[in-house]
Amino acid sequence: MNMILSFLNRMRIGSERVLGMNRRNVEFVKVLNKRRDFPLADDKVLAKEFFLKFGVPTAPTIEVLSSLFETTNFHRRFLFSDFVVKPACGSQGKGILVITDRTDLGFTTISGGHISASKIEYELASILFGKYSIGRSDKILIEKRLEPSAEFEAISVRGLFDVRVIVVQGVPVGAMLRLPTVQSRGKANLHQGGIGAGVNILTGKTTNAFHLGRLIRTHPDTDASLINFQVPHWVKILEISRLIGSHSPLRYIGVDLTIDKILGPCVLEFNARPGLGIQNANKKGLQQLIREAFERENS
Amino acid sequence: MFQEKFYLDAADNVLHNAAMRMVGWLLLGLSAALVAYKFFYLDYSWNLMLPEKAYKVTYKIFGQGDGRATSVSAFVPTEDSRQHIYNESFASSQFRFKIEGEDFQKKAVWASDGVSGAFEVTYSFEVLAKSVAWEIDPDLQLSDLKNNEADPFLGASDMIQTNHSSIIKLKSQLVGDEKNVNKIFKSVFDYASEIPTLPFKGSTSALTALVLNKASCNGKSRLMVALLRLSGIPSRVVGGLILGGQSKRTSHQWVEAFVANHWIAFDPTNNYFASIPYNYLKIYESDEVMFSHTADISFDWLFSTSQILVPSTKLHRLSESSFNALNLFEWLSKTGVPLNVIKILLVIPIGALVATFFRNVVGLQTFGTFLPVLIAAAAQSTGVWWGLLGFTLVISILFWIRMAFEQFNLMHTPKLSAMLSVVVILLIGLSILSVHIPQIDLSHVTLFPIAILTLTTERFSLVVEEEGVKQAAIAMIVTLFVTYVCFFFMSSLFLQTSFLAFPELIIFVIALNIWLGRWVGLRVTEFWRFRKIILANEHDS
Repeated sequence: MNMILSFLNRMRIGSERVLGMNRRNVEFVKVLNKRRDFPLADDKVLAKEFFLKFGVPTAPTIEVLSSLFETTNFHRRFLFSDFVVKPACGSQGKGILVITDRTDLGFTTISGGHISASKIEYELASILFGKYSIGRSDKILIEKRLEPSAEFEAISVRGLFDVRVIVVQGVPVGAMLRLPTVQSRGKANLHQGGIGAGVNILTGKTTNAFHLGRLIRTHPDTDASLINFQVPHWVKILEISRLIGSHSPLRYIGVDLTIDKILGPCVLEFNARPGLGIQNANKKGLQQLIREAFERENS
Repeated sequence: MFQEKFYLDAADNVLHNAAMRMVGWLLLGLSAALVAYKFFYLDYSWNLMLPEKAYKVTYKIFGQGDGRATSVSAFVPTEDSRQHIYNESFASSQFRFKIEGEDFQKKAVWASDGVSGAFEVTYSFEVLAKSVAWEIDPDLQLSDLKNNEADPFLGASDMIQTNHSSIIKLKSQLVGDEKNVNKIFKSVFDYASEIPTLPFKGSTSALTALVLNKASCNGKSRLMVALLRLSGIPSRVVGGLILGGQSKRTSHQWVEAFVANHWIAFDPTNNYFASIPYNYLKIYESDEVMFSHTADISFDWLFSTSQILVPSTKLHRLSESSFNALNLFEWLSKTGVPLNVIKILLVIPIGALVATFFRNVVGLQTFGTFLPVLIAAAAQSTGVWWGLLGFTLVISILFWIRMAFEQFNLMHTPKLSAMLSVVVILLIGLSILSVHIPQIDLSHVTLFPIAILTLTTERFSLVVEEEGVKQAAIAMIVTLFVTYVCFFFMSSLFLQTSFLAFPELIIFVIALNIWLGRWVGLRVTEFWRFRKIILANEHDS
């Protein structure tokens, strides 16, 4: 009986550290993020304009397409051979097409496959008609492809990693590194097989790594250690996060950055309903991380 | 500075929470007050909530056609003050179907200009009947009946030989010159009920029953009718079914006598004197056979009856009692919406509450938040297992068809529109299939929400593409499970009758939703998802 009671007590105390979906929605998203500001984060084109206003580094834009006639022969208008096509209103990385090279017949994708220009044009049209934005018409963002900086060679496999920083009322409270694996096919999303590695918000060093519900210590594809990895440019990353956090009308956000081998830290996008997986990657609850961050901020 | 600001937001939230909790309590109070008002000032009682026993009856008529014009017919029941008949439906395969006649002469007729091979037609309905016992005034005299000599219910017929000397002799032995109606009934009934009963086998006339001193229900009934008619009491043989039990071939016949402007039932076979039990279904009022058909075809039939529970009919009577602005029946009876539709409509909020509970408290994600509710509502007429099977079938067939559509590189909306058309074809196809294969009961699958099935298939396919077959299968199983639980609550007769009698309970459901909407605890699945953080020791973290 006593054991059950003490176990329940431990559960109660433990669950106070964790931020669950219900509390996130009711006490964080609803209170800190106004509905009318959501498009700023949900629309990558708007977000990018917003970032550029106060000098936040981002991937160079090649083109923004918003009507069907712009999609025909799009590839003849620019000479880049590596670029990324993103639906402006897609979520969770859906619909993103990464092109690494041009061939006589068409293009090469990041996974090494071939794709014809007409297939890309079809994809572009689908995006415009709302394939990834629940039927609403959408825009297309074509950007220069970013490539991971050299430090990440052994842990960012077949794709681009990103750093997710949770920023509450301008204060970065927690961070994680999201790493693609062979299994995730170049995507860094956790539920698609990407690795989430918790990052100490003060030092920029990884603390734990979480892969498909399990804690791991090394990268499943390369065996490179995932613990105590120093994320380069950490001070700069925190600075960018604070800058976005303090200007954004959305007060509870997840900022996604990456580190390009030439450009250094660049912001990819930010999110008004950041996921909760960061807690497992850090082995720490968000409620606890927020409390600690605000205590530091005040002292 | 930051901390102050942050906690200010949190304090706002505390206030907001308290306000919302208050709104919840107010709504709860409102619905409780309305229920209490009905209890204490109007004649509502818990008695209303008790369901009643009803029966679902199916006639199956089957045979072998030889290419010639063929018709088969069967008497079907009529609604009266004792028996409520509803949800009639029929399947006629190659035949034309029509109903002929009315008021206990009603026949279902299936006709065709030429049928070859095996055929099967069905007619089914639900029936809720009352048991009735009559009391005959012990002083009632024959002269009080004021009979008309020409009354056909006093005359002779081929099977009821009131003019035969043996029957006339028996009448004078049993009744003599007795003038008391009650006493005549008593002696005639006692005689007829003491004749040993044979299992049903064709038609037995009154005379045969007398000569053999053995008869099935129709022989005994005819003899009793003959004796009553000779005694001067108008009477007739009626036919119907004894409900319940196994599938069977036999119908039943009993007697009705006309006394003081009422037809009173007697069953000498099963010993009901001036009474009729609730499981007797009266179907026709003439001395005929229940089924008839074109000569020279092989032909057989079967009745199956099964017991079902239905909301109390006492609810209907409420509308006739006191004026009551909250009496749903009074209002809805004017709109002509069938009770079955209202029943399902009223329990949809319960289903939605169950679905919300699974999402926000348990943490299970289904395809489409309210899809389980709509499938469960449609399954009210198919039964839960057929409903789940039909749903799974439609989604999986549609999944393959969508894969084919993907090859055509279609735009999103036209593709969905095409898939929607396929859903319509599928549902009609399943419905037709179930008419031709009696073991498959998917005829009501057409009630499925067509647009939502289309969008669900699209979502299902995207999950398969993005997260793999395993994740999609898990989400599908979760959806089926939540649908089952929704069905369990929505088909609860207790809840159905409660909401029919007290529609203001929907306000209570809204109150519960408001509380759920402000509930910020961890979902059950999150305890598992974050177990490593929750169970970590304090000093570790």
